[in-house]
Order: sequence, then C-alpha cells, then structure tokens
Amino acid sequence: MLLDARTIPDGAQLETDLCIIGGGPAGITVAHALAGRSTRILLLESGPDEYDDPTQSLYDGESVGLPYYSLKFSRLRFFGGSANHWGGYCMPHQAADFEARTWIPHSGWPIGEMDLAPYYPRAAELVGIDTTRFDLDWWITQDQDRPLPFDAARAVTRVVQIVRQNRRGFRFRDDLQDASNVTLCLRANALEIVTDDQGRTTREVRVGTLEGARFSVAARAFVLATGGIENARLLLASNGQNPAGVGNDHDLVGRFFGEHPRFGAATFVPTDRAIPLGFHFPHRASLSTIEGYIGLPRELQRREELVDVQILMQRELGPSFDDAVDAPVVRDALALPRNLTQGRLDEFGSHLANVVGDLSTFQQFTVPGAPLPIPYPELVGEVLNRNTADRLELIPAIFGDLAGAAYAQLYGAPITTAIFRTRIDQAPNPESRVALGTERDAFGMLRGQLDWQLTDLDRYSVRRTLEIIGAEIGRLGLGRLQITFDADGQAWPEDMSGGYHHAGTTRMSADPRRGVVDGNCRVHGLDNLYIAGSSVFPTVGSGNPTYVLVALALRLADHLGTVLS
Amino acid sequence: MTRIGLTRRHFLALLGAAVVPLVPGLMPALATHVWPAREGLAARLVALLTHTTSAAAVGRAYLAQSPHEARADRLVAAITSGWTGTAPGAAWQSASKPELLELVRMKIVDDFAREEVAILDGWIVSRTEARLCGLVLLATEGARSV
Repeated sequence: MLLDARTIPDGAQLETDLCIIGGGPAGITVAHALAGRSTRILLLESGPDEYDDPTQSLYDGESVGLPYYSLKFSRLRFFGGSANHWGGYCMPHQAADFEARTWIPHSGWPIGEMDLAPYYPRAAELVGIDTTRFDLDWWITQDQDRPLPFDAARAVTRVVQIVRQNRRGFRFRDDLQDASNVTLCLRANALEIVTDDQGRTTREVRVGTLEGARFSVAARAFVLATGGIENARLLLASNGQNPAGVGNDHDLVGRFFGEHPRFGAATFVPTDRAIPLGFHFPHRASLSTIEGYIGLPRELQRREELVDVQILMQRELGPSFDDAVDAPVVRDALALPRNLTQGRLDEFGSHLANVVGDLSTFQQFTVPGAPLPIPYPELVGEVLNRNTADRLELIPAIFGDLAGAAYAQLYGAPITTAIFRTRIDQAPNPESRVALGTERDAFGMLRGQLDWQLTDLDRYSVRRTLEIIGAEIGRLGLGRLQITFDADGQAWPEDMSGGYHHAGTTRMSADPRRGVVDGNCRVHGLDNLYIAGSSVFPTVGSGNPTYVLVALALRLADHLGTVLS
Repeated sequence: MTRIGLTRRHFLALLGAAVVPLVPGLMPALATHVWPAREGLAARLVALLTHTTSAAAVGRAYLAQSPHEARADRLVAAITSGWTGTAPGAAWQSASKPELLELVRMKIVDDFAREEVAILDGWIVSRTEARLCGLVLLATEGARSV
C-alpha cells in the first residue's frame, strides 16, 4: 500500500508492528525481506518518489573538519535514498575486517564474516550482481584480461563487481506497494524518537510533513535506517527524555564517523606500453563488469601494523584532450599542444626513465617520439564490449585519445601512466564525528554537523602500502612508481574525497560502553529500537558498504521476523 | 629494509642547484675523489648506462641522500655484495658486458624483493640502480673535480 503523508490528518496516531524510518537500501531491504508475512510494516520515507529540493534541503549541514562534500548532496532524500546516486560497486568485507586488530584502536566487530555469509546470495540479487564469487582465481577463469602478476605474499588483486547502470537504484516500490503487510508512506519526516520515561522502550516516532502536519507512529519495534549521518542526527536530536539523546548513554552516538578516503597518491609508469592493465580498470568479464583493486595481503598488513589501503587505478592515456580544451587558455591555439604535454614525465622522471631503459630488457619506457597506436586496442575492445548507450559515452575519450595520438605524431609520444588512487579503510577515530550544529532546518530541528578527521595511522598506512607495492612493481619489472602523496606533511591532499560511505556513527559492539548497538543491531539499553545501515559498522571495512549493509539488513530482518512473530 | 626519504621540496631545491659543489656533503667527497682505472669494474659498470646526463642527475639525488657512499670503491662494493643471489664477487670481476648487465638486472630485482630501495623525488628506485647512477656522477662530475 502506498500512502502520502500529506493525506494523514494532523495529530493522527498510527500504530503498526514494525516502523522503518528511511526508504534507502537498508530500510527497503528490511521491508522487502518481511513483505508477505503477517507482521504489519510501516515504512516512512522523507521524500517523494523523486528528487525534491525542499526535502533534500533538510540534509543541509555544516562540515567543520577535513574538507568534505556538501552534506546536502552527499546523500539523497527520496525513495531509494542514496542508492539513487550509487556507483554500483560491490565487494564483501573480508574476514580480517571483522577482527579486533591490536594496532588499530577500537577495531573489531561482535560478528564475523560467517555471520553475514548466508545473506550474501540474497543481497546479490537485491543489489543486482550475478554472482557472489569474489575470489580472484575464479574470476581469472571468466576473464580474458589478467591482473598484474604479483607475488601473493607481497601484493594482491581484489575483485570488485560493478552493477550495471540499468540495475542500480534499489527501487522495489512495486514489490512493497503490492505487499499486503507493507505500507510505504512518502513525504513523512521523522522528527523525534520518543522513549518511555525510563528510556528502555521506544514508544513512538513523531513525524511531520513540510506542509505542517504532525502525527505519530507507535510500533512494537522500530528500525532507524536513514544513513550514517542522519541516524546519528536523529538520535542526538531526540533529546526530550534524555539531553544526550537516545542510545547515547556513553557519548558514542555520532562518534567514529568513517569514510573511504580517496586521493591520487602515486603515479605508475609502466616499463612497456604493452603491459596489460585492463583487469585493473572497469571491464566486462563474462556477463559481469568487474575491476581489480590492488592491496596488501592481510598477513603483511598485520606484520606492518597497517590499516587496509586499496589502490584503484585511474587511466591516464597520455595527454587528456578534454583537459586541454577545458583549460581557461583554450582560446589561445598554442595552448593546446602546451597543455597536452602535461601528460609527460617531469624532468627527474625522464632522467629515471632513461636509466631504467638502459638497464631494462624493455625499450618503450624511454622512447620519446614513438607513435601511439591509433586507436588504442584496449579502447576498441571496450567499445565492442559496450551497448550502444555506453559506446556513446566513450566517444569523448576516443576523441581525446585520437587527438593525443595526432599530437604524438607531431611532437612525440607522451608516456602512458596510471594514477594510483587510495581507498583507505580509515582507522576508527572518536574525534571524527557527527554532532548537532547550531542552524535549524525547516522543522526547527538542529542540522547535522560533520567533523571528519583522519589519523596518523591512516597516513602512515598509505605511505607504507605504496612503498611495498612500488617495490613489487619494480621487482616484477613492470615499471616504476612515484609517490606523489606527501606522507611527511600534515595536510591531506587537496583532491581527497570520500565515497559517500558514511559509517561508524552508531557503531556495533557487544559492550554498551564501546558501541551504540549490539550484534543484532539493537540499540543498547532499548528493547525495541534497531539500526540498519553502515552507521553500525565499527570499521568502514574493505568492502563496499552497500552490498555489506544489505546483507546485514537481511540478517536484521531475520532477527526481527523471529522477535515480532 | 633500508629506505631513504627525500621530500619533493628538498629535491626541487636540489635540482635548482646547477653544480655539484652546492650539494651539501657531496662536494668534499667529489673534490677528493680519484676515479679508478678505466678498465676496472667501476668503469665497466658505468659503461652500462648510455644516458650519462640522466644517470648523473639520478646519481646526484642519491648521493645527496647518502654522501657517505660517494666513493667509487664503496659504491662498487655495495653494488656487488649484499644480495641473496648466488653470483660471487669474482663473477662480477670477470663478467663480460652482457653478463654484467644481467648481474645488475638480477641485483635490481633482488633489491626490490628485499625493499633495498631509495625514494628519490617520490620515485621508488632500487639502490643498485641509484648507486650505478652515483658511479656515473663520480665518473663525470667527480673526475672533473680532481
């Protein structure tokens, strides 16, 4: 059943078995898993069915820590939630992600890899990937491309699956609407979670519409599923009974905000243009699209006492025509070749290339002026592997490459390089936090304030990971790595961003003094309030949060099915 | 593992120094350096690198980090020892040019395997290739200094 909250009378008191707050991947998964059962479910979604700016503006907030995306747009507030801007990347957490690692303070989950394993097959169906296989050995049998041939004791390749564009979005509206036990209520904004006087039972959630109506929902159980920032904000703002908010007896709500920090940290210059890198870029393998991330084996991380840092390759096929024509000085015709030369090695890099070339069995590392193949074989392969719409997307890239090739014929070939971008499983940090700001939104509710912080362990881990991988690349004769990340400085790179992966703010622990929720995602001290989503992740983890949080939400649904039956 | 760090800022400052004597710690070493006999192992190692200007630039950066190595005998000793391979010192002495190149390649691989690397302007290079470049610098700039 579909309900528009604007049709609910002001002051109404609704009653259901399970009230789910938030219609994103986590909330939808719980509702979807329990659809068709006898449990009555009311799913409250703040937004309508599509983007609506007044609703989206409720997410506005201040960022006072490391530079971060606009809080307004780093998540989405309409049905489907942040899955509406999801990149479709899927990878499960590894066993080591769940372990308490002595060198990483506050690490460790109260559940393990095997607790989630039974839920991944169904999670795969929901997110839209064709297989739960992520082991490299299996993917090699499905793929014509090959990963870089690392010694597994020194570096590893991890497989990420990417959901096809037309399967993303997590919009199971029809399924929910058709389920006899589910009511999907749009334009319903949760404003406060109200507990009994002892703070032991959640009594109701107070709800408002932007048009001014107010109503309440009482339920036997509640699931808070509004994302890693908003979950904390709503708990903190629900301070009618306790000034610290709900579930915040130990000042943990909002703390430990984690992300997957990304930035260009190194440049990889292959010894030979023919070295195949295709496995490490998004590409088709069998019926799926996958990408190979580079990382360190877990045992080596343990020995070196590092957090997990994965490396994503960003293609840099010589000069970027797009960059060149986008330059402010493009009106000056002479600017074009000048900009295109920026794909070249700097002076020292050129000297090093000459030295490596002298000592190498390869030749192309050092050959200035060698013509580029036109067009690149790998690009042709990509085009042939794409559907029509995707082929159109490639046209600018091909145009840029052809322009680069033409330039190379005239001025010499630029070096083909790849940028190594980080994806850090940042160390849990209590000072990295979501709090209430001073501004208020349209409901008079204090806006969220983000203070994102990283640690020296994160910085050291990036540097050591790159050093180890750089040495392995040298050992294999694949090329050389230039670390461009200033690991000795205090500032983080200007291009640092996250992945919209908001985690940790209602972290999971068996110990109420160390976590907001227990291993079943129930808020410590409250017998009927649960939290779904990556906000319960004690560490962000190596996996992509959507796939993992969906599996975890399925596990929660299993638990709720038992509790509420 | 032995690693040497050089900040980009330091390195750029280094590049800005047009002549060797401005490199702190390196000038005295070069000024007193006497290049060994032409037919010696050092000379044959230097002959492996044809891009001498490039090699000297890399060598200058390396020896600025490790001025205590700025002597041909020390660099040759470091290049030909301290690895896990099976080639004895005598093998280096008697190697033909192709054999010498192969020994150097094997040593570079061995360096990377043991993380015997230097970081020059952010580049992760094997210490053997950096030391070879140091030899080239001594053979050119250093020889002019004596």
